[in-house]
Amino acid sequence: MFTRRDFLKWSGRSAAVLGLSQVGLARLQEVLAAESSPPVIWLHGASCSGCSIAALNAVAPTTFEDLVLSKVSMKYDGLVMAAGAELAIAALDGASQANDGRFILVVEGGVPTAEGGRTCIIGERAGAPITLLDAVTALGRRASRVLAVGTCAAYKGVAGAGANPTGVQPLAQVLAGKTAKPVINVPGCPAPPEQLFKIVIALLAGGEFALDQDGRPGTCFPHTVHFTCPRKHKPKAKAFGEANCLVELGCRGKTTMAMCPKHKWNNGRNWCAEAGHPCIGCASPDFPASPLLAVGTPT
Amino acid sequence: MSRRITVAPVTRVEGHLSLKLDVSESGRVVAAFASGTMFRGFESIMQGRDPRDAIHLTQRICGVCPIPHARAAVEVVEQAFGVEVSRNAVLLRNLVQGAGVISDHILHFYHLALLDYVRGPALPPFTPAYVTDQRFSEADTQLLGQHYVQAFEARRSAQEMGAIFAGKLPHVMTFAPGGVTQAPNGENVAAFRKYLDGLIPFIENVYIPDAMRLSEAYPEYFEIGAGPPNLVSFGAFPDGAGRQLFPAGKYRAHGRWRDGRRGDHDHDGHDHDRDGNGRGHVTPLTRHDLASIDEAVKHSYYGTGRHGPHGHDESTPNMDKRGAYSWVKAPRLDDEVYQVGALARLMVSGAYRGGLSVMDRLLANAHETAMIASAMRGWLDGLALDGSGYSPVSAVPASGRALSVSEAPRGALAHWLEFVDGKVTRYQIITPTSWNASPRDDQERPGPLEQALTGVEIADPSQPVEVHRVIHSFDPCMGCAVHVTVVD
Repeated sequence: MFTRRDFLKWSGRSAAVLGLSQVGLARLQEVLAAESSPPVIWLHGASCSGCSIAALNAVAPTTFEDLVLSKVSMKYDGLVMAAGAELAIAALDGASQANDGRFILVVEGGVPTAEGGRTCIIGERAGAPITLLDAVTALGRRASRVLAVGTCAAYKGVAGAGANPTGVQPLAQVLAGKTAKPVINVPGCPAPPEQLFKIVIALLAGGEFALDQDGRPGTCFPHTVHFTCPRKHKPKAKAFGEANCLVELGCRGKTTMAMCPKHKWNNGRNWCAEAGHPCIGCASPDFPASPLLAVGTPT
Repeated sequence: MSRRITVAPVTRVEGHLSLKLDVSESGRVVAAFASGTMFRGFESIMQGRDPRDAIHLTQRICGVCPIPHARAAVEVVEQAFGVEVSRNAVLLRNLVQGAGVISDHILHFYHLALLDYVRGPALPPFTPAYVTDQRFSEADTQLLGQHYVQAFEARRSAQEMGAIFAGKLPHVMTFAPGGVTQAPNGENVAAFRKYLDGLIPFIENVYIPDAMRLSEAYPEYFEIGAGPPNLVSFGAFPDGAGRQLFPAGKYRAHGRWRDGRRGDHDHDGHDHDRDGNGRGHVTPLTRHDLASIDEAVKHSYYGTGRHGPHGHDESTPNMDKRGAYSWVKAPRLDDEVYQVGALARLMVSGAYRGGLSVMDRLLANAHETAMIASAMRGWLDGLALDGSGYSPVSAVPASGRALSVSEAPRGALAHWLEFVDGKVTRYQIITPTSWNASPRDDQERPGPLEQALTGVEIADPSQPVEVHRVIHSFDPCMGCAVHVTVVD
């Protein structure tokens, strides 16, 4: 139905977005043009699929459909892939074996570790259930890079909140010492798709990221929300909905590392504070803190 | 003699679902067992929290359909607080929720369901794939492929449209007790309208014709996948003046509905045909009905299955429980099995007259998308640009309880809240897929999806595409289905 489209125009436009030199650009085009480009395997764990939906919402640096049709070989993604059942698991096994040490593993959602991980079964192989824990452990060792996408995968998030009965652990903790390179955290609820795509494409082009103390690529999460918030010098709002600084209503922008004021959400359409609601800290390691807003009972 | 086929995982659904099917030698499904295979324990997340946190946390049950959770949660809190909101707030919530349905139904038809019928692009993740029973010509396959790609853009623009008043999607930021924190103004109303004006031609000229085209190419799927004869809608999209776009009610189909197939005639001897002559019976949804909802756990991974000194334990996770095969519970209304979704909404409202089947579900989704988009124009026109969409809640009670219902894209949704001393003591949710993908209940009656699969004929057991078509017609959302939110 489709062939891989020419993407010269796209990558030329994207070079600046990705911060690539001419050499890097040439290499990116070479890598992405090849049928043998390293594939992406996207696993869903204890998730809500919100990070997938956010990825489908992106247009910069490119769209999801452009990514999978023209740029990235997406060998496994349970939400969009055609195959199901054994055929899907065969695709997963085939892709990881044929690309040993080369593929990028994306994990969306928490990784339950209690009960041997049996509270999250992602499929069956020869009649035996495959836990997410088994899958990430096996694939994490063989991937060139591992991405923890969303706050649940990166820091436990909602999946591991409260009493955490399923023993969700951050992906980097589950895979400690088992991966070729450190797990890259792309937190957010959902994960910001601009940063996610930028990281995936840059990794495919041979790029590298320095990670901060919370495992994030520092260049993708350089500031707190408050640092770039256009409202920070405005008077203090007394109620939600006011076009003023929401800090006294419990805003967590001062402690949350995210690019929301710059990228906003849904392709620049809006974002939390602009829509009159304080930041709930959805990209923070302690999300969802109780109460969600930093002061008790705002109105 | 039958043999067992396992479909694990079911892909192109939200979350983790698997099916076990007992299939006869001729290839007929004689029994189906639907398993939700992921458990998060949402109850412990809500316990002891500020009730308002539910507005944000319950959305995280599902990133595909967060908006109805946000709405049910904010409205259950408002009811418990004794807060009434303005008409503007109601309309703004309708607009966000409507944008969500448009986005979700387009995603479902093109990206989740269509690949059961049409060959996709010749590259991963569209290969490998089943290559059986694909009936479209090369030209139609190309056309549907183009629409598959266009549909990404359409659903994305619907999400952008919703974000105008939601702050961001997925996960609504603006629904707060007292209204919607994003005020409408001339600029954002015009931007919203522009998106809507772009989406309506896609819905009317691409989505609906494609759904019709599919139903014409696969007409026997009007006879496959009926499920139980009882349908329920909890009602949704109030107009702020006492009416709803989709009223609450129960629909009971006439005719013999057995083994997932419709009989030739109903009990009156009339043809149960497609133009309304065999129309079923609609009754109102009563308070008694809502109070009668009970969740069976005999075949779910909770409790011991035995009576203990403190009665029946129905909430402690127990993966080793004998006879259990799913994390989903089995909700039943007035002790009957009900199916939910757009088909239920439209059968109850009378806006769609057909039967119960795979194709009826896909067509009801498509027609509903157009109905909602059209209603959204009215809601947009009805907005007052006077700052009345949100008013802060001044007094908050220490304790309270309430029930709020709505309709998610996949069907009926209810949130129950109880809080004491400002802390949640009980938060219970019953979601659409809890109904549709429920396992057998205490009386061994299969859930709707299980019933719909029973009787399906599989031509090639190595490529059970027929089974996928039935499953996908329900658009299962497993993150929603498994949530276990009873806190005592």
